Amino acid sequence: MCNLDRNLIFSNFQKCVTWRDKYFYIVDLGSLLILPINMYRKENIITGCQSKVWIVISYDINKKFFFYGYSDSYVIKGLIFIIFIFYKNLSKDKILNEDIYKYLNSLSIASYLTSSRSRGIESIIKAIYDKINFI
Amino acid sequence: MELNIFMNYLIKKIRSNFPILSTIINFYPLVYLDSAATSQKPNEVIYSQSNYYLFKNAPIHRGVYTLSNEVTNSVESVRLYISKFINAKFVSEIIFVHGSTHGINLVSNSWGRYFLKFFDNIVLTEMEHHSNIIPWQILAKEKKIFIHYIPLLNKGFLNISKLHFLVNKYTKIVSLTHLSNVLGILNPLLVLVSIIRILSNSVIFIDGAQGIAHCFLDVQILDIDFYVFSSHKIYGPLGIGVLYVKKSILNIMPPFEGGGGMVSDLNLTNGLVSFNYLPFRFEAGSLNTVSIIGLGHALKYILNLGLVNIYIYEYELMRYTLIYLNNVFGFILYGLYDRLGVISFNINKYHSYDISCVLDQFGISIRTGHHCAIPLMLFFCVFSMCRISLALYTNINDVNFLINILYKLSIFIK
Repeated sequence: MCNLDRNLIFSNFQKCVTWRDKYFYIVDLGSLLILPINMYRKENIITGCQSKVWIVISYDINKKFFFYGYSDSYVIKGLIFIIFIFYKNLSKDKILNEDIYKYLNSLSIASYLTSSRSRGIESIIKAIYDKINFI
Repeated sequence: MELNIFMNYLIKKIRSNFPILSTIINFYPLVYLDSAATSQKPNEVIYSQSNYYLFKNAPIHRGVYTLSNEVTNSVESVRLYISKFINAKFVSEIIFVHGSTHGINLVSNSWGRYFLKFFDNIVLTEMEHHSNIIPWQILAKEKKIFIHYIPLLNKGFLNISKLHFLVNKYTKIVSLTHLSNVLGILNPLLVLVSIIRILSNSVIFIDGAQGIAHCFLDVQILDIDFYVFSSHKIYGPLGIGVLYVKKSILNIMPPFEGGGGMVSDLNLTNGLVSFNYLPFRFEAGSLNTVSIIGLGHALKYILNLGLVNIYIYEYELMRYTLIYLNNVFGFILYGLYDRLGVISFNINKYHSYDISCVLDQFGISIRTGHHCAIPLMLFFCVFSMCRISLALYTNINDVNFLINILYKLSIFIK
């Protein structure tokens, strides 16, 4: 899990032939998402997504960020994990300036993102942006 | 499981009347199971729309030339047809509105604002759609009055024993749904109306958005004061609905929206205005004539099929669907087995969006979410549910395919 990065995920998605492969890969990635039990709090809930989503971002002395999250939807969990991997090891400036939508589109997962779910993903990304900006 | 009704019901012919059912989605034939949100339309209704603009379009009630007269007659004959469909005593008791939501807002703003006073109360239920809660909440806030909600028993059935606590001499309006859009529960209107009439002098408003497509309706026998439904849920076009208001209530209701077509005299100097005859005083502006004509065709279509035939087919299909859905591992049903129209469910730990995501890949369209009934979601302690709806064109193959996919999904539980 530690050596997963955005390039590896991208190449794994290229290897997925059918939607079923992609679907189960997304669900599998979602199972790697963790959230400490004391973080299931109201202030960590992201609004705007129709499934329940918790996001927590912590940081160490060197301003390296650690991402935690959970959702009651398997697909959203997977998408959150992909978003976290995209932002892994990036500095605050890089996170605020990188275009994550370009990356998500390159994975060709548009069929999982109906318009209501896209709005949900947008609110998650915006919430992460706001949290990082605040730090 | 052999069901004789399927032999007699001309499902193939009926499906051929609905052209959209031959669409291909993601390389699979469309399996449309969201008729409770909006129904598909038969050829007759679709053709009537273009036919209108090709040959018939003209203003109604205003012109004296042939084209205008003809379209006026068409619209008024649909009004008469609807009044007979629901057995209203007078044709003027049928008001055309934009939809169920608009009808409810019309009554809350017109009747509600005029007749409700401080210390009165409104009674609703916990199973209502938001459109039958929010207009009343807005009114209650303005008038500073209370809303009581009839609670539910553990399967979602109305707790009628609580009525005498909630309905009293200060209750001015009781508004409830005919058929729940989530649970498929048919509320026992005859019983409820008779109890409410004993306990209070309130008027009774019934939200028939779902009920109109799945049950017989006789507004005189039910002795209700208001009934509203939308055309697009009963195989008619979008953009039009019907509000039935009992004559005695209609006579004393002030108009809600002002505009053209609803006054017979207007004097700017002394400010005197004479409102038009009923029901035109409630139909300000230009009516959606094309959709009204389409609705007439939709009602004609289902009456030609025979309401009894449709309802019995839907009943048998519902029974079949529930029996086989119950075999899906982790299937959680919300509501009773005795139901019409809709089946709301979840499968074990799956979020309803995950389920609909998979189903969509196979061309199966279901509805997920809170179904605009958040209080009901809270009652069952969930945030969202999956919902499938059965309509007169739903095939047993649709149901079998759905169950097949759900069954495969259920065995991949994480």
